Amino acid sequence: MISPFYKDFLFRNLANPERGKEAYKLLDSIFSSTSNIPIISYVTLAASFCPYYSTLQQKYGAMSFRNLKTIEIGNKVHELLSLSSIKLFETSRPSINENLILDNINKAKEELEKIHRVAGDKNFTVDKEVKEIAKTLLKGLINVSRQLKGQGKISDYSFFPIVEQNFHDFDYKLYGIPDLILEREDKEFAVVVEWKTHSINDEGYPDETDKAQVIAYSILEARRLGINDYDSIFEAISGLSINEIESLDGNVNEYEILRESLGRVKVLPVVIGKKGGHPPHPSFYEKTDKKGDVINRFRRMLDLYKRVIVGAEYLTLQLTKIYKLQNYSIDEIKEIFKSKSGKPIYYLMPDGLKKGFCPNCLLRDPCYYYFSHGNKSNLDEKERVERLEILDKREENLLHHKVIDMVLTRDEIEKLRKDPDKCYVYKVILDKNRVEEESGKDPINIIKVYRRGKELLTFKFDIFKGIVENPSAEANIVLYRKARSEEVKGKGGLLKSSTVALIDMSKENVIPTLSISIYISISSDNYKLNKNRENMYVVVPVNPSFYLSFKRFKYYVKYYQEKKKDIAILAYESAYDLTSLENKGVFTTYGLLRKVDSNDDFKGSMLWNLKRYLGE
Amino acid sequence: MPLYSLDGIIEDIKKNPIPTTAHKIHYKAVSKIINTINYGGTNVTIGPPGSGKTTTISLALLKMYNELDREEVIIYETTHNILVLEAIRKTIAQLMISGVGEEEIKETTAVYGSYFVPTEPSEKTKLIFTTFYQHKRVEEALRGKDRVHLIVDEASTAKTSQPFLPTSSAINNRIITGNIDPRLFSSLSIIGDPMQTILFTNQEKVKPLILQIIEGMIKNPQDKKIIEEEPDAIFEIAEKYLPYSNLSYFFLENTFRLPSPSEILISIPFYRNKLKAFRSIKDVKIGSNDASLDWFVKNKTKLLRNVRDALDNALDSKIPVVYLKDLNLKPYRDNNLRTYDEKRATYAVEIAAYLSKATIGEHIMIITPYKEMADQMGFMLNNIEVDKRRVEARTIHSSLGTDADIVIAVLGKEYTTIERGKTIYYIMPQALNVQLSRHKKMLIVIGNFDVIAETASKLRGYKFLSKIQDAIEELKEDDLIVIKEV
Repeated sequence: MISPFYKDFLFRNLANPERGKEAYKLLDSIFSSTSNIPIISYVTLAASFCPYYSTLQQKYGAMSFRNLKTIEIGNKVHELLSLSSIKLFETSRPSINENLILDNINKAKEELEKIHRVAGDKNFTVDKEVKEIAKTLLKGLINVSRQLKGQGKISDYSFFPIVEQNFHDFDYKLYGIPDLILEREDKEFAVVVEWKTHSINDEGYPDETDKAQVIAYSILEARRLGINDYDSIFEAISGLSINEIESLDGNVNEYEILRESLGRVKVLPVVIGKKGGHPPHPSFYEKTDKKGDVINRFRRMLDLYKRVIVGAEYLTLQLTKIYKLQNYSIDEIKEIFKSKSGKPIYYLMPDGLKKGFCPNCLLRDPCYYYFSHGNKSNLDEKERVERLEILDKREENLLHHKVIDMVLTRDEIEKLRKDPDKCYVYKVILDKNRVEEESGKDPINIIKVYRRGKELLTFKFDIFKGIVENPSAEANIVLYRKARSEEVKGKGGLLKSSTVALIDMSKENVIPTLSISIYISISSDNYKLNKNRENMYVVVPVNPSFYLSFKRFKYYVKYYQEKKKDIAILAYESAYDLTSLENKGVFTTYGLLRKVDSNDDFKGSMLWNLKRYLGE
Repeated sequence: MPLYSLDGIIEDIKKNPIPTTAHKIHYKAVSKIINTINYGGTNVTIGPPGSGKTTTISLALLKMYNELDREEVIIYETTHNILVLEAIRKTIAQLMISGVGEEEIKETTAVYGSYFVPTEPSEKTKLIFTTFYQHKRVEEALRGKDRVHLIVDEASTAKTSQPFLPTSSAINNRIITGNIDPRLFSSLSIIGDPMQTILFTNQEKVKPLILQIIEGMIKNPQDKKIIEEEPDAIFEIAEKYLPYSNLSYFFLENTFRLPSPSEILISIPFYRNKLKAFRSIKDVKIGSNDASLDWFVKNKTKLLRNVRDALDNALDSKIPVVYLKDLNLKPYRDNNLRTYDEKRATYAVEIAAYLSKATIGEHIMIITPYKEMADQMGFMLNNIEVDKRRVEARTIHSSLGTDADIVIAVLGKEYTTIERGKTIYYIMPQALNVQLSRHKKMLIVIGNFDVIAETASKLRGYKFLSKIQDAIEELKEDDLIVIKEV
């Protein structure tokens, strides 16, 4: 899927406009063949600061060093808020006062400390500073909720709180973990919250990066609510359509526009920091806003929305090995995508994105190094090979999620649930965007992924009947379903480590990778047939380092059970993605080895020795 | 998953002391490592299976322990949590025997990895044990240090950068903030074995660090070409270059795990017969027991009666290798390229179950290249009556760094394909080495070595694998192998 914004940019910049259709088709097929989508925090850097800066971080693992202490406080605040926001919003209340917030934070603090003790971190404590920040942030959110109540968007303070869930959207090429989403029960309205523990500017208002980030998360939430095209998503976030904004002029009644837009908003993005600060939605003022500037506020929001969308597309192209995906030669691809400046179009910055301010940039040296075309040494070649390897691995890790979205439509899940004894083999042909299915011989569903006739990946998935708690152990996930006839004979339908997703089937629009989920490590030891061999149980003890996500997951299981929601329990094999860490390792290792050349101090050091063996 | 803490590890050592079994050869290797730490530079120690890599490291750490300054630290870095556990247990045991107090050990040792309760960083830290992906913790532990020695135990999935993941970013950050004087960033010791280091990658260009360093010494294109054709020649060629290089190098040439002569199954193909076992099969004791017939009737074993005599024969006459030659093997076509082989899985599980009844206290491990196979065999073991503490099924990858009294090696895909990519032994022949070198007393192989030898002889760079037939012939001559066609 290509956005209209990128499409526009593509057609305007092609050197051979007569091949425009071909270029468009090819680009569309590149996007549908790749799963290498960027992380939202890097997309927002591309949209708000500098695309090179974000490419360096996302693709090359470049690091700008930050104060460890600030990061630690930020993490603790986020963890504390994740528990307290569930507690605060799970029950319906007519009002929320400060005491209630404080009480809530204290309870969450105790629980969090307990979780960390179980996970082996004996000395973990939540100190006063962390508690104070959390309190201020929650108060900020309650203020927003009060305004919403006043405007009639909500009737009480009861929401379905979605806390730090891993969401992937392969159509919009975004992936990330929103801090908090508050969904109204009827799924017609949601507030997307971004907590800012440090980066809010002096006036107490969100900067461009914060705004871009919460808009990106709002896109994911809009998709969760079943809104699907670029125009409608923007309308859901801003309250006005793109056409309406473009036709606004100075003669309109600004108060009327604000009232109307807020009335129509379905996904409200807010940034909440230590000093308040709620934009990006134009109904929230910034101190710097001039009176009578409402129209420009809407235009700026539209502009940022476009930059987030094309930023994601730009980064996806930087992460993708374009030449490997298609049946064209390198030269042909370069020719089709040749821009007016001579460079292939995918290297160009799409409209709206700009290079950042270089003199103060922390990544100036690596930027110069990686984006200039100097002579490459033997060491550079080694680094390049490793980088490609990591990108391949990253793509494979993400492919599991992408393919699950392609295969498991609502109807398909219903079909599998109806006849749990029957299993299928799905062939997914990425470059043709096609899924074929046949019945399988194994007691489990299998997905085989192909691209250009080559098998890329095979993995399994299963749909379970239920999920229960193991009464005899604290941290356990127990999935169960009917034992399949093959299993009774001795062959198991087993999964490796998997993502377990709770898919809400009450909605028309089902996207498994935008559901509540948790990652668990399963092995064959976890599979047990019950005594009369009728049911298969998968009993998985939770790894201590996942206790916090497990606690949250348990809440969702309980919530769905209490509300008697129709939930499909899907488990699909996936990998825990550590490639961004690996990228950082490669970046620093080779950075250090390269430093040897420029610094006499390194002679006689281990690095100097190592470089002699590796570099020459 | 268990979560180990430093206190727990120390308590455990007090209850079950780990005996030290170091030999002369280990002390030779240790002195080379100590030299590297003292005078800087790079050390490479080649440690074939069971040759005592961890023993060597723990001895080196013991020797250095009292020599280190306050600002000096040694980082032991490896790929697997299980190796970290092994190394820290051996080292602490040695320290305790040599009289270092418990409290002091707790203050000076740090351990990081997903199996471990992270140690609080302390200024007194001297030894850090870590897996990769722990760079933030290592960074904190490096505060106040200005001399860092790195010991890398490169077992598997290691590429150039991976052993450096924790240290590289931690050290880089320290250099940027000025906490480490780069001139004093001192030594690198790598211990491992390119013949066992398994890379999980499709990129043939990515090589383990230990191999890159050895190959980096070799300058003559003629010699480079020889290594491409015959990878097992690397040790001989490397030794030729040592006098002209300042690399410190040592080859641990005795295996203390495998009973002689079963080591020749790996020694002949992978080490040009340089690896020698220290123990003879004659010194090995297997506790035997009469397996009850009722159990087999109850569990409806299907295939076992075919091979029971062969197993009993090996147990009675102390023959270390049983080779169950699978004759029903055909070159692969597209549609039968499955990783699950029901016949082999059933054999392996039934044999494991039988041996767990026919022996007393022996630890039995099934090793297969494929996760699906290991999982299915695990599932089958789950659903029969067998002592799960004594019998387990693992993949080659997860069996690295472990051993068992009796190993059942289930080979996988001895034929290969071209169109659909090479099969396992022809992507990483090291896998076969690992599979055939985990046993302390007895090895049972299910598969077909003839096919491996024939296939390998046709492929460039894999001819050394066909030498496995010579090893089988040698064992046959001495009547130290039981062969049964299945």
